[in-house]
Amino acid sequence: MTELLSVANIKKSFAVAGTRKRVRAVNDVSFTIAPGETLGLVGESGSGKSTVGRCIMGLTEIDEGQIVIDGDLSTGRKDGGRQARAKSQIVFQEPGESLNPRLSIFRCIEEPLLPVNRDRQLRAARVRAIAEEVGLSDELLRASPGDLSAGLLQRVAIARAMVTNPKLLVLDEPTSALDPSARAEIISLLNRLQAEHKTAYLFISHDLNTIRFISDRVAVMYLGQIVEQGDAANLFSTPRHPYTSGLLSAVLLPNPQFVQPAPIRLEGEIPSPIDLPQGCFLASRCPLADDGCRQKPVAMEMPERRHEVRCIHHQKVADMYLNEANSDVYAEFQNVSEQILSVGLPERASARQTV
Amino acid sequence: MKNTGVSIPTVNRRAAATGFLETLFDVFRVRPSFAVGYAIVFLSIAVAILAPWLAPYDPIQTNGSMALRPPSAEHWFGTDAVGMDIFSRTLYAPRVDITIALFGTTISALIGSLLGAWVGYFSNTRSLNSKIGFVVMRIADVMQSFPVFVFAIALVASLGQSMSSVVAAIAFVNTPIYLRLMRSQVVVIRERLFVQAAIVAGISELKIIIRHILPNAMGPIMAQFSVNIAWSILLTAGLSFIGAGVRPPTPELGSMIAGGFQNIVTGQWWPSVIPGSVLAVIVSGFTLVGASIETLTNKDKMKKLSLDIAMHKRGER
Repeated sequence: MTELLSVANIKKSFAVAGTRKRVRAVNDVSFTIAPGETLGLVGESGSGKSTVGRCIMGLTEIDEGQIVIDGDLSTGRKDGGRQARAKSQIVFQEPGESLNPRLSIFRCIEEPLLPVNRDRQLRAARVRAIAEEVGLSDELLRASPGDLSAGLLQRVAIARAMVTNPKLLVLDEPTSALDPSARAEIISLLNRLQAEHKTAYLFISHDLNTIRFISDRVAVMYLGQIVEQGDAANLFSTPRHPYTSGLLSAVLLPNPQFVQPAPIRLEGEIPSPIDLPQGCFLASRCPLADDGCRQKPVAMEMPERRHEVRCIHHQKVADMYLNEANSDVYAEFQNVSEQILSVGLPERASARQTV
Repeated sequence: MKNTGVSIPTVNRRAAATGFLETLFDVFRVRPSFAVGYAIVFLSIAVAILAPWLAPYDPIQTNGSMALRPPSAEHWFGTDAVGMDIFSRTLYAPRVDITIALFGTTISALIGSLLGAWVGYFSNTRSLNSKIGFVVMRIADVMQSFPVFVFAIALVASLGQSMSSVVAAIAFVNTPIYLRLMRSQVVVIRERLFVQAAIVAGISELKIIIRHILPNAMGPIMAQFSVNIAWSILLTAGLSFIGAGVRPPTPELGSMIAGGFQNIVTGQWWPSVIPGSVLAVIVSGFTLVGASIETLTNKDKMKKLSLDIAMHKRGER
């Protein structure tokens, strides 16, 4: 087995206080990540993408299914899961919140080493090495988290996560709380670290531009299910799920002269995860929905190599994008968004073309 | 893009140290009551320590021929029914009251907050620890449902009348307060991301509590602690007043008030009123210090304070 992370049919629901109902946050999610690969996990708020990340880290215990990290089963917080989690680390969305305000930056970064390495000198050397790698000066190591900007704090959080040399890094919306220039820096830093250490990333975000830029493969989540999964370029140019299409048409194009091709517009709000529909979860919002969609759950299909989709009308959606005019606009859109995101980061832009 | 050359303004540590007195002075100017509080507390502690050198008479030396003398040059605060010098006794008395209150409150704060941290950290986790925590909280409910004073009297009565049993009683009645306060803090802090990050890093539960949770939960505990000392002094004096605390010949404010109060009817007010006033002053001093510490741990009050200082400084110019 070559996969670094394999997530198989995990389910997680939370009790709703005062009732017997349960919020079904994650419904049967499966995916894999190869060593050194970046999987982008995208979805709107409440789609369960962060819960998936927390489950992988053992912060939330799964109800069903199985998570294997580099051959070790990740169970709950305790015992056996420790081995699996030693190989993975997480970076949270709010960098200020994820660092203890009463510890120095040095101590924050050092913390994951405490259970691993007993030698203080070795730990200090390792902290200095990783701090230099992410661009933190020695002076900053003595500061406390309250003194630093959000962008710097996120560097600290990344240094902290990378200090144990994990094979897998879960990035839970690491750039959402940052301004655009800090975002570009963090993304370039992540790209550089990945190139040097061959770390695999699970990049969780709702920002399609960022996801498009950083991911090798993309999984789209909706109401706790993965509705579409495939290579980033393929999935963004010819989405096969109406939801993916809807998300893409909601992205602001970086050039006002572009006419947004919107083959599918979604209506209404995300349904409550407490009372899930019987058939396709998207049926109430989807213009393509018919009785067949509403009656029974939709299974994952694989219409082309490395591209899975959970929709019985996936060919109809793909056809809309295969018409030439639209694909031109998307090619241009990709171009421009890469240009914008790659300001000051030429190395990744060229790397992308060789892939 | 190796080093982005980012830096933060370095704080000049020496300047911060000399600025401390200046800041203190600024604070006292806009909050004079704090200055009064600190003055009273320092004075009463100093007097308590230096009592053997300051007191003109032995505080437990009776003198039948000098009983119930009014304040005079010889006996500044007069003498009580058995001829003991009230001034000397008043100098010695805070020793007992402050010591008992300090020990009792410290013990309860330590036990209460450690237990509260433990209970809070494991609450609602579906573990055995969570169930033990539930039982602990219900015991605290039972303890708090008794009127504090009655509870303390019962404790002293069952433990026997001594200084250590008064300390134990004060520690016992205060512990649930800290337990509750700490638990409510920890339940919130436990969910914060840096604790989650520590769990991911594989840090042990005990270490997470000590390293991450306690330091971030100490603010309200400190505020409660400082207010609580004043209240404990009052409780100590109260217990002694009704005869459940320190035994009479020992100089103690509550028992002094009790010993003198039947003489008020016949016009000899000094054996009661003087220790009573001293008690009131000491308690209000500790309360004011408590208020200042509460300000220090409360973000909004700190903001108001620094605003007032800025306003004051502008008014000067």
